[in-house]
Amino acid sequence: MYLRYGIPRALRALRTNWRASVNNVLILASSLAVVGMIVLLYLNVVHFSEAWLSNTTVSLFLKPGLDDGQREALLEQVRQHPLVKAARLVSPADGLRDLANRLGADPALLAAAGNESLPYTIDFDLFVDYRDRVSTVAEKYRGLPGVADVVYTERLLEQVKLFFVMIKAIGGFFIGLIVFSFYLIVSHATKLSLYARREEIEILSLVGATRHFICSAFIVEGMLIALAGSVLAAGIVWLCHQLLITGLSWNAVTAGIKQEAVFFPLRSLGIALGAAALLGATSSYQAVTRMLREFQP
Amino acid sequence: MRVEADRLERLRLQPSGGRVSRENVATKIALEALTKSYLGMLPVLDDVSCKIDEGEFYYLTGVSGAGKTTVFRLLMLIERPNSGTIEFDGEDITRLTVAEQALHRRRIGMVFQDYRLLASDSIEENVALPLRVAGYRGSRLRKKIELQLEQVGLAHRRRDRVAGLSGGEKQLVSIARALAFDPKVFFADEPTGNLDHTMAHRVMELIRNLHRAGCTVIVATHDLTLIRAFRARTLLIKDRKLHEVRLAEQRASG
Repeated sequence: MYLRYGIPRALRALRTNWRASVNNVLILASSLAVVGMIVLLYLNVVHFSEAWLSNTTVSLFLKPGLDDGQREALLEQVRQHPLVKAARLVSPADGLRDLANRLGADPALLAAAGNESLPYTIDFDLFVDYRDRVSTVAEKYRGLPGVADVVYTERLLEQVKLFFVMIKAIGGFFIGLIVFSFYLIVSHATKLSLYARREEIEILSLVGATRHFICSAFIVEGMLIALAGSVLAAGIVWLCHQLLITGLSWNAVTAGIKQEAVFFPLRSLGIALGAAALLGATSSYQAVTRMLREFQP
Repeated sequence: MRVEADRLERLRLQPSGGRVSRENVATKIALEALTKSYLGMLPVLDDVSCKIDEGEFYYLTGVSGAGKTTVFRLLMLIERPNSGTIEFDGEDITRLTVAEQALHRRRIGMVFQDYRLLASDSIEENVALPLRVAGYRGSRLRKKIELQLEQVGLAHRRRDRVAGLSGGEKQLVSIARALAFDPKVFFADEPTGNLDHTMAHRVMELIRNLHRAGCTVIVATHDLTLIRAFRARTLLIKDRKLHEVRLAEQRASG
């Protein structure tokens, strides 16, 4: 019964005060878009780190000047380790080809670099069950004669983890701040609407409308503003994501990100929009009940 | 909880959707030692008592500022008295909760001096308001609106905005809204104050018809010609007290 009155009344109020409504939707959308971008950045960092974590490849960069025999001996030594699943010797030419494959977009850029820019490497993978022992195995080869450097996921991950902590702290603060301002914006919009429709509320009250009945239109109005703001924010974030990805694909250094970058899953997006609508309804309800006590006859 | 539910049930108006009858409509009103004063001012009503039997028609009169509107505001629970009781069918309404207060108002049809209509809404939207509140919808709602607007002769203008109506027409819309769910009690605060003679008589005829159907009616007015034309019992507010008077006495008291 309440919604039969509330929905058309709320739509009508939004239409009548369309300037204020659009203004509120835009303010909400811009603040939510900032939240969305921070969350999306975090999501992508988590996604990349997970991809790295699942990677057990270790690269041994060999010193220049080793002959074929020495390289083969090192390869054999690695292959004999009980946790090593597979190992292969990568020549500078193969390395360049691999890199060109990974970057995809611009092989000409790499051709100019020449074979000499890369060393011989031995790439090896551990059995999946021993993923957590990557660093132990990898560090064993550091300092071996003929090995210049050892590179593996976990070292990179240490740096990523630090980045994570920073993003979490800064993002958490901003998200908290913006959710609070979201609450205030919807609450404020409802209050303005209440003042503008004070007479209507009094008349409703005089003809025997209960508080819930009176509240219904305002709750629907707050919910619609919040929902419209959230949908618009999701659109803005998606657009920025697409533009960024398209831009990155032309950059040889960051080309790999294009394939791995993720957007919010539809389900999560639906839940987020629902939560925003609920928050809008809640803040409206609180604003209405507080103000009804003030001027309901 | 049980007691609360019973009280709500007793207050709940069952929309009949049809003609009103004396048995299920009229309500007895009793004011007992009622005092109302506004902050820092002398009481508007001081120790007022009176009984209005079910199905009675009363005029409430007195000079401007005597407290006629205050009486209605108290009966509608827009204001609470400082002391005393107001009984509707033996129940003290001054003790009603907010939820009960809403149900109490649904048994009262009230016409305000300033109409209290939604100016930007259409005539039918205004009349539909109390019906929607009472749970009417669909064809039942449309039929009821049609019926009410025919009664006041505004059915052909149902989609017109209230803002474009004359004072008399606004008063008719206000009456149609007040009668929307067959009230047990009907209050009108200066219903003819802004109307010409013909329109005033038309409005009074509508109110008289409602009374004939069995409704308890109180009309506030200081228009003696109206009281003479449509004779009924008269309550006079004078010196913060309520007196029942005859027309001759009233004329003598000015």
